[in-house]
Amino acid sequence: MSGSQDIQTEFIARIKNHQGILHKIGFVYAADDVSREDLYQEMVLQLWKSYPSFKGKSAFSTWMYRVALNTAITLTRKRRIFGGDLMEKHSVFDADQSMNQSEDLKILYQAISTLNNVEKAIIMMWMDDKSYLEIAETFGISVQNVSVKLVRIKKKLGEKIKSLQ
Amino acid sequence: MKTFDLENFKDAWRNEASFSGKNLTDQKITAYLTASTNDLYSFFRKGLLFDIIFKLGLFTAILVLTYIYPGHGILNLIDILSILIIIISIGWQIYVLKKLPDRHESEFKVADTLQRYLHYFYRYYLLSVYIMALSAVLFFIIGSNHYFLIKYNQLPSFDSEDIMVLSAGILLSFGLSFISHQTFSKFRIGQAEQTLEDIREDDIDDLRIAYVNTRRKRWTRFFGFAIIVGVIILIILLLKT
Repeated sequence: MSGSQDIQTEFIARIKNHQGILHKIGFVYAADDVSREDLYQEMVLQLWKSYPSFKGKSAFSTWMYRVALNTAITLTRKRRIFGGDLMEKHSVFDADQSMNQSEDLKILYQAISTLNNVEKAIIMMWMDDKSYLEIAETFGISVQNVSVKLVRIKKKLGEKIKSLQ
Repeated sequence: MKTFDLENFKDAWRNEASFSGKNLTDQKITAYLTASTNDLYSFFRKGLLFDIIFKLGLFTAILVLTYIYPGHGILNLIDILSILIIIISIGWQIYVLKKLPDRHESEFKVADTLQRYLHYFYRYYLLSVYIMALSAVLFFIIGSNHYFLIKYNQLPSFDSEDIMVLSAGILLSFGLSFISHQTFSKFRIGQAEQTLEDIREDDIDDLRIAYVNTRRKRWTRFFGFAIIVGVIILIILLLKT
Protein backbone atom coordinates (compact mmCIF):
# COMPACT_ATOMS: atom_id res chain seq x y z
CA MET A 1 0.00 0.00 0.00
CA SER A 2 1.41 3.44 -0.94
CA GLY A 3 1.94 6.30 1.52
CA SER A 4 -0.99 8.34 0.24
CA GLN A 5 -3.29 5.31 0.49
CA ASP A 6 -2.12 4.81 4.08
CA ILE A 7 -2.99 8.41 4.89
CA GLN A 8 -6.42 8.05 3.27
CA THR A 9 -7.13 4.85 5.19
CA GLU A 10 -6.06 6.52 8.44
CA PHE A 11 -8.23 9.57 7.66
CA ILE A 12 -11.32 7.48 6.88
CA ALA A 13 -10.90 5.50 10.11
CA ARG A 14 -10.67 8.72 12.14
CA ILE A 15 -13.73 10.22 10.46
CA LYS A 16 -15.71 7.04 11.12
CA ASN A 17 -14.68 7.08 14.79
CA HIS A 18 -15.79 10.67 15.25
CA GLN A 19 -18.72 10.77 12.85
CA GLY A 20 -21.01 11.84 15.70
CA ILE A 21 -19.61 15.36 15.24
CA LEU A 22 -20.77 15.38 11.63
CA HIS A 23 -24.18 14.05 12.62
CA LYS A 24 -24.58 16.82 15.20
CA ILE A 25 -23.71 19.54 12.72
CA GLY A 26 -25.85 17.93 10.02
CA PHE A 27 -28.74 17.73 12.48
CA VAL A 28 -28.53 21.42 13.32
CA TYR A 29 -27.79 22.89 9.89
CA ALA A 30 -29.53 20.77 7.28
CA ALA A 31 -33.25 21.01 6.66
CA ASP A 32 -33.72 17.63 4.98
CA ASP A 33 -31.91 14.44 3.99
CA VAL A 34 -30.74 15.83 0.65
CA SER A 35 -29.12 18.93 2.10
CA ARG A 36 -27.75 16.86 5.00
CA GLU A 37 -26.05 14.55 2.50
CA ASP A 38 -24.64 17.61 0.70
CA LEU A 39 -23.36 18.96 3.99
CA TYR A 40 -21.70 15.65 4.99
CA GLN A 41 -19.99 15.57 1.62
CA GLU A 42 -18.74 19.14 1.92
CA MET A 43 -17.52 18.66 5.50
CA VAL A 44 -15.67 15.43 4.74
CA LEU A 45 -14.12 16.97 1.62
CA GLN A 46 -12.91 20.07 3.48
CA LEU A 47 -11.59 17.90 6.33
CA TRP A 48 -9.65 15.83 3.80
CA LYS A 49 -8.24 18.93 2.10
CA SER A 50 -7.27 20.39 5.47
CA TYR A 51 -5.91 17.11 6.85
CA PRO A 52 -2.26 17.91 5.98
CA SER A 53 -2.54 20.94 8.29
CA PHE A 54 -3.50 18.74 11.26
CA LYS A 55 -0.30 18.54 13.29
CA GLY A 56 -1.74 16.85 16.36
CA LYS A 57 -1.39 19.93 18.59
CA SER A 58 -4.99 19.44 19.67
CA ALA A 59 -7.15 16.31 19.83
CA PHE A 60 -8.38 15.11 16.43
CA SER A 61 -11.99 15.55 17.55
CA THR A 62 -11.38 19.22 18.48
CA TRP A 63 -9.73 19.91 15.14
CA MET A 64 -12.47 18.04 13.28
CA TYR A 65 -15.21 19.90 15.13
CA ARG A 66 -13.67 23.23 14.21
CA VAL A 67 -13.09 22.52 10.51
CA ALA A 68 -16.52 20.90 10.06
CA LEU A 69 -18.31 23.73 11.83
CA ASN A 70 -16.37 26.31 9.84
CA THR A 71 -17.46 24.53 6.66
CA ALA A 72 -21.12 24.40 7.69
CA ILE A 73 -21.25 28.09 8.60
CA THR A 74 -19.35 29.41 5.59
CA LEU A 75 -20.95 27.08 3.06
CA THR A 76 -22.97 29.16 0.66
CA ARG A 77 -26.21 27.57 -0.21
CA LYS A 78 -27.13 26.34 -3.65
CA ARG A 79 -30.04 28.14 -5.23
CA ARG A 80 -32.81 26.09 -6.69
CA ILE A 81 -34.25 27.45 -9.91
CA PHE A 82 -37.64 27.35 -8.24
CA GLY A 83 -38.36 27.08 -4.55
CA GLY A 84 -35.53 28.96 -2.83
CA ASP A 85 -32.27 27.79 -1.31
CA LEU A 86 -31.31 24.17 -0.90
CA MET A 87 -30.27 24.79 2.68
CA GLU A 88 -32.62 27.31 4.19
CA LYS A 89 -31.15 29.87 6.54
CA HIS A 90 -33.42 28.72 9.29
CA SER A 91 -33.51 25.00 8.78
CA VAL A 92 -36.19 23.14 10.66
CA PHE A 93 -34.71 19.83 11.63
CA ASP A 94 -36.88 16.90 12.51
CA ALA A 95 -37.32 17.04 16.25
CA ASP A 96 -39.22 13.76 16.20
CA GLN A 97 -36.44 11.72 14.66
CA SER A 98 -35.29 10.29 18.03
CA MET A 99 -37.87 8.26 19.92
CA ASN A 100 -35.91 8.85 23.15
CA GLN A 101 -36.35 12.58 23.16
CA SER A 102 -38.34 14.12 25.96
CA GLU A 103 -40.94 16.75 25.16
CA ASP A 104 -38.67 19.45 26.62
CA LEU A 105 -35.79 18.37 24.39
CA LYS A 106 -37.99 18.49 21.32
CA ILE A 107 -39.02 22.02 22.24
CA LEU A 108 -35.39 22.97 22.74
CA TYR A 109 -34.45 21.61 19.30
CA GLN A 110 -37.33 23.49 17.72
CA ALA A 111 -36.16 26.68 19.40
CA ILE A 112 -32.55 26.15 18.24
CA SER A 113 -33.75 25.66 14.70
CA THR A 114 -35.04 29.26 14.66
CA LEU A 115 -31.59 30.72 15.40
CA ASN A 116 -29.31 31.98 12.64
CA ASN A 117 -26.29 29.92 11.53
CA VAL A 118 -23.82 31.69 13.81
CA GLU A 119 -26.06 31.47 16.87
CA LYS A 120 -26.65 27.77 16.22
CA ALA A 121 -22.92 27.13 16.15
CA ILE A 122 -22.29 29.06 19.36
CA ILE A 123 -25.05 27.35 21.33
CA MET A 124 -23.99 23.98 19.92
CA MET A 125 -20.41 24.49 21.10
CA TRP A 126 -21.65 25.67 24.49
CA MET A 127 -23.89 22.59 24.84
CA ASP A 128 -20.82 20.49 24.04
CA ASP A 129 -18.97 22.17 26.93
CA LYS A 130 -16.50 24.01 24.72
CA SER A 131 -14.82 26.88 26.56
CA TYR A 132 -15.49 30.53 25.72
CA LEU A 133 -11.92 30.71 24.45
CA GLU A 134 -12.46 27.79 22.06
CA ILE A 135 -15.65 29.37 20.75
CA ALA A 136 -13.91 32.73 20.36
CA GLU A 137 -10.99 31.15 18.48
CA THR A 138 -13.34 29.28 16.16
CA PHE A 139 -15.07 32.50 15.11
CA GLY A 140 -12.11 34.87 15.35
CA ILE A 141 -13.88 37.12 17.88
CA SER A 142 -13.13 38.13 21.48
CA VAL A 143 -14.10 36.10 24.56
CA GLN A 144 -16.18 39.09 25.74
CA ASN A 145 -18.07 39.04 22.47
CA VAL A 146 -18.79 35.32 22.93
CA SER A 147 -20.09 36.02 26.41
CA VAL A 148 -22.40 38.79 25.16
CA LYS A 149 -23.65 36.62 22.32
CA LEU A 150 -24.34 33.67 24.61
CA VAL A 151 -26.41 35.80 26.96
CA ARG A 152 -28.39 37.09 23.98
CA ILE A 153 -28.85 33.61 22.46
CA LYS A 154 -29.99 32.09 25.77
CA LYS A 155 -32.48 34.92 26.20
CA LYS A 156 -33.74 34.40 22.67
CA LEU A 157 -34.05 30.65 23.23
CA GLY A 158 -35.86 31.22 26.53
CA GLU A 159 -38.43 33.45 24.84
CA LYS A 160 -38.89 31.03 21.96
CA ILE A 161 -39.27 28.07 24.33
CA LYS A 162 -41.91 29.96 26.34
CA SER A 163 -43.89 30.56 23.18
CA LEU A 164 -43.62 26.89 22.19
CA GLN A 165 -44.60 25.46 25.60
CA MET B 1 -45.32 27.52 33.34
CA LYS B 2 -42.11 25.67 34.28
CA THR B 3 -38.69 27.31 33.93
CA PHE B 4 -36.40 26.10 31.19
CA ASP B 5 -32.75 25.86 32.27
CA LEU B 6 -30.44 25.07 29.36
CA GLU B 7 -27.80 23.63 31.70
CA ASN B 8 -30.17 20.71 32.36
CA PHE B 9 -30.12 19.76 28.69
CA LYS B 10 -26.38 19.50 28.16
CA ASP B 11 -26.28 15.80 29.04
CA ALA B 12 -29.30 15.03 26.91
CA TRP B 13 -27.68 16.86 23.99
CA ARG B 14 -24.42 14.98 24.34
CA ASN B 15 -26.19 11.61 24.61
CA GLU B 16 -28.66 12.28 21.80
CA ALA B 17 -29.23 8.98 19.97
CA SER B 18 -29.35 10.64 16.55
CA PHE B 19 -25.69 11.62 16.89
CA SER B 20 -24.31 8.15 17.54
CA GLY B 21 -25.32 6.76 14.13
CA LYS B 22 -22.72 4.83 12.17
CA ASN B 23 -24.17 5.38 8.73
CA LEU B 24 -21.01 6.92 7.28
CA THR B 25 -19.27 3.86 5.86
CA ASP B 26 -15.80 3.55 4.29
CA GLN B 27 -17.36 3.54 0.83
CA LYS B 28 -19.44 6.63 1.51
CA ILE B 29 -16.52 8.61 2.94
CA THR B 30 -14.30 7.56 0.00
CA ALA B 31 -16.99 8.75 -2.43
CA TYR B 32 -17.16 12.12 -0.65
CA LEU B 33 -13.40 12.58 -1.11
CA THR B 34 -13.74 12.59 -4.89
CA ALA B 35 -16.84 14.80 -5.05
CA SER B 36 -16.81 18.42 -6.17
CA THR B 37 -16.97 21.15 -3.58
CA ASN B 38 -19.42 24.02 -3.32
CA ASP B 39 -17.30 26.46 -1.30
CA LEU B 40 -16.43 30.05 -2.17
CA TYR B 41 -12.86 29.16 -3.11
CA SER B 42 -14.11 26.75 -5.80
CA PHE B 43 -16.79 29.19 -6.92
CA PHE B 44 -14.23 31.91 -7.66
CA ARG B 45 -11.72 29.47 -9.15
CA LYS B 46 -14.20 27.76 -11.47
CA GLY B 47 -15.58 31.10 -12.70
CA LEU B 48 -12.13 32.42 -13.57
CA LEU B 49 -10.91 29.20 -15.17
CA PHE B 50 -14.04 28.92 -17.29
CA ASP B 51 -13.58 32.47 -18.56
CA ILE B 52 -9.90 31.92 -19.37
CA ILE B 53 -10.73 28.77 -21.35
CA PHE B 54 -13.61 30.53 -23.13
CA LYS B 55 -11.35 33.43 -24.12
CA LEU B 56 -8.69 31.00 -25.37
CA GLY B 57 -11.42 29.47 -27.56
CA LEU B 58 -12.26 32.93 -28.92
CA PHE B 59 -8.56 33.55 -29.52
CA THR B 60 -8.39 30.34 -31.58
CA ALA B 61 -11.50 31.37 -33.52
CA ILE B 62 -9.84 34.67 -34.47
CA LEU B 63 -6.69 32.89 -35.62
CA VAL B 64 -8.79 30.55 -37.79
CA LEU B 65 -10.65 33.54 -39.25
CA THR B 66 -7.42 35.39 -40.01
CA TYR B 67 -5.91 32.28 -41.61
CA ILE B 68 -8.91 31.54 -43.85
CA TYR B 69 -9.66 35.15 -44.81
CA PRO B 70 -6.37 37.06 -44.80
CA GLY B 71 -5.92 40.59 -46.05
CA HIS B 72 -9.20 42.23 -45.02
CA GLY B 73 -8.15 45.64 -43.71
CA ILE B 74 -11.09 46.35 -41.45
CA LEU B 75 -11.27 42.74 -40.35
CA ASN B 76 -7.61 42.77 -39.39
CA LEU B 77 -8.22 45.86 -37.27
CA ILE B 78 -11.12 44.20 -35.43
CA ASP B 79 -9.05 41.03 -35.00
CA ILE B 80 -6.06 42.91 -33.60
CA LEU B 81 -8.32 44.83 -31.22
CA SER B 82 -10.04 41.60 -30.11
CA ILE B 83 -6.74 39.76 -29.63
CA LEU B 84 -5.43 42.67 -27.58
CA ILE B 85 -8.54 42.64 -25.35
CA ILE B 86 -8.31 38.86 -24.97
CA ILE B 87 -4.62 38.91 -23.99
CA ILE B 88 -5.10 41.71 -21.45
CA SER B 89 -8.25 40.03 -20.06
CA ILE B 90 -6.60 36.62 -19.69
CA GLY B 91 -3.60 38.29 -18.02
CA TRP B 92 -5.92 39.97 -15.50
CA GLN B 93 -7.90 36.77 -14.85
CA ILE B 94 -4.67 34.84 -14.18
CA TYR B 95 -3.56 37.62 -11.81
CA VAL B 96 -6.91 37.43 -9.98
CA LEU B 97 -6.66 33.64 -9.85
CA LYS B 98 -3.25 33.93 -8.20
CA LYS B 99 -4.66 36.37 -5.63
CA LEU B 100 -7.35 33.86 -4.57
CA PRO B 101 -6.84 33.36 -0.82
CA ASP B 102 -5.68 29.93 0.19
CA ARG B 103 -8.45 28.12 2.04
CA HIS B 104 -6.13 27.06 4.87
CA GLU B 105 -4.51 30.43 5.55
CA SER B 106 -7.12 31.53 8.04
CA GLU B 107 -6.52 28.67 10.49
CA PHE B 108 -10.27 28.06 10.35
CA LYS B 109 -11.40 31.24 12.05
CA VAL B 110 -14.80 31.81 10.52
CA ALA B 111 -14.72 35.64 10.57
CA ASP B 112 -11.22 35.76 9.07
CA THR B 113 -12.14 33.29 6.34
CA LEU B 114 -15.21 35.29 5.34
CA GLN B 115 -13.43 38.63 5.61
CA ARG B 116 -10.66 37.37 3.34
CA TYR B 117 -13.12 36.19 0.68
CA LEU B 118 -15.18 39.37 0.85
CA HIS B 119 -12.06 41.49 0.45
CA TYR B 120 -11.04 39.33 -2.50
CA PHE B 121 -14.46 39.67 -4.09
CA TYR B 122 -14.62 43.48 -3.92
CA ARG B 123 -10.93 44.10 -4.55
CA TYR B 124 -10.37 41.68 -7.46
CA TYR B 125 -13.28 39.45 -8.48
CA LEU B 126 -15.84 42.18 -9.11
CA LEU B 127 -13.63 43.61 -11.85
CA SER B 128 -13.30 40.08 -13.24
CA VAL B 129 -17.09 39.99 -13.59
CA TYR B 130 -16.82 42.90 -16.07
CA ILE B 131 -14.00 41.06 -17.87
CA MET B 132 -16.20 37.95 -18.04
CA ALA B 133 -18.99 40.00 -19.60
CA LEU B 134 -16.52 41.16 -22.28
CA SER B 135 -16.29 37.51 -23.41
CA ALA B 136 -19.92 37.70 -24.51
CA VAL B 137 -19.21 40.88 -26.52
CA LEU B 138 -16.19 39.25 -28.18
CA PHE B 139 -18.24 36.14 -28.90
CA PHE B 140 -20.88 38.30 -30.57
CA ILE B 141 -18.35 40.23 -32.70
CA ILE B 142 -16.26 37.20 -33.70
CA GLY B 143 -19.41 35.17 -34.35
CA SER B 144 -20.82 37.92 -36.57
CA ASN B 145 -17.53 38.13 -38.50
CA HIS B 146 -17.57 34.38 -39.05
CA TYR B 147 -21.16 34.58 -40.27
CA PHE B 148 -20.52 37.43 -42.71
CA LEU B 149 -17.35 35.90 -44.10
CA ILE B 150 -18.88 32.47 -44.59
CA LYS B 151 -22.00 33.94 -46.21
CA TYR B 152 -20.54 36.84 -48.25
CA ASN B 153 -16.83 35.97 -48.29
CA GLN B 154 -16.24 39.53 -47.00
CA LEU B 155 -17.63 42.02 -44.52
CA PRO B 156 -20.61 43.72 -46.18
CA SER B 157 -20.95 47.49 -46.10
CA PHE B 158 -23.36 48.38 -43.32
CA ASP B 159 -26.02 51.04 -43.42
CA SER B 160 -27.09 52.98 -40.35
CA GLU B 161 -29.79 50.41 -39.45
CA ASP B 162 -27.27 47.54 -39.54
CA ILE B 163 -24.96 49.52 -37.32
CA MET B 164 -27.78 50.16 -34.88
CA VAL B 165 -28.58 46.44 -34.75
CA LEU B 166 -24.92 45.47 -34.29
CA SER B 167 -24.44 48.10 -31.57
CA ALA B 168 -27.56 46.92 -29.79
CA GLY B 169 -26.26 43.34 -30.03
CA ILE B 170 -22.96 44.36 -28.46
CA LEU B 171 -24.61 46.27 -25.64
CA LEU B 172 -27.15 43.52 -25.02
CA SER B 173 -24.54 40.76 -24.96
CA PHE B 174 -22.47 42.74 -22.47
CA GLY B 175 -25.45 43.74 -20.34
CA LEU B 176 -27.06 40.31 -20.15
CA SER B 177 -23.79 38.54 -19.46
CA PHE B 178 -22.81 41.08 -16.81
CA ILE B 179 -26.19 40.94 -15.06
CA SER B 180 -26.20 37.13 -14.94
CA HIS B 181 -22.62 36.93 -13.59
CA GLN B 182 -23.22 39.77 -11.15
CA THR B 183 -26.49 38.33 -9.84
CA PHE B 184 -24.99 34.90 -9.28
CA SER B 185 -21.90 36.31 -7.58
CA LYS B 186 -23.99 38.60 -5.40
CA PHE B 187 -26.15 35.68 -4.29
CA ARG B 188 -23.09 33.77 -3.12
CA ILE B 189 -21.27 36.71 -1.60
CA GLY B 190 -24.45 38.03 0.01
CA GLN B 191 -24.67 34.90 2.14
CA ALA B 192 -21.07 35.34 3.27
CA GLU B 193 -21.77 38.99 4.12
CA GLN B 194 -24.84 38.02 6.12
CA THR B 195 -22.88 35.44 8.11
CA LEU B 196 -20.08 37.92 8.83
CA GLU B 197 -22.68 40.44 9.91
CA ASP B 198 -24.19 37.84 12.27
CA ILE B 199 -20.73 37.20 13.76
CA ARG B 200 -19.75 40.83 14.18
CA GLU B 201 -23.20 42.33 14.54
CA ASP B 202 -22.57 45.87 15.78
CA ASP B 203 -18.92 45.80 14.74
CA ILE B 204 -19.62 46.20 11.03
CA ASP B 205 -17.51 49.06 9.86
CA ASP B 206 -19.70 51.59 8.08
CA LEU B 207 -16.66 53.22 6.58
CA ARG B 208 -15.63 49.94 4.95
CA ILE B 209 -19.07 49.57 3.37
CA ALA B 210 -18.96 53.17 2.10
CA TYR B 211 -15.49 52.55 0.65
CA VAL B 212 -16.65 49.41 -1.13
CA ASN B 213 -19.69 51.20 -2.58
CA THR B 214 -17.56 54.08 -3.85
CA ARG B 215 -15.17 51.64 -5.51
CA ARG B 216 -18.03 49.76 -7.13
CA LYS B 217 -19.56 52.95 -8.54
CA ARG B 218 -16.18 54.09 -9.84
CA TRP B 219 -15.62 50.81 -11.74
CA THR B 220 -19.17 50.81 -13.11
CA ARG B 221 -18.66 54.33 -14.50
CA PHE B 222 -15.27 53.38 -15.93
CA PHE B 223 -16.60 50.31 -17.74
CA GLY B 224 -19.70 52.11 -18.96
CA PHE B 225 -17.43 54.74 -20.49
CA ALA B 226 -15.11 52.07 -21.96
CA ILE B 227 -18.03 50.26 -23.59
CA ILE B 228 -19.42 53.47 -25.12
CA VAL B 229 -15.96 54.35 -26.51
CA GLY B 230 -15.61 50.78 -27.81
CA VAL B 231 -18.97 50.94 -29.59
CA ILE B 232 -18.10 54.34 -31.12
CA ILE B 233 -14.77 52.97 -32.41
CA LEU B 234 -16.57 49.96 -33.85
CA ILE B 235 -19.15 52.16 -35.57
CA ILE B 236 -16.37 54.32 -37.08
CA LEU B 237 -14.57 51.19 -38.26
CA LEU B 238 -17.73 49.75 -39.77
CA LEU B 239 -18.63 53.05 -41.47
CA LYS B 240 -15.24 53.07 -43.18
CA THR B 241 -16.02 49.80 -44.95
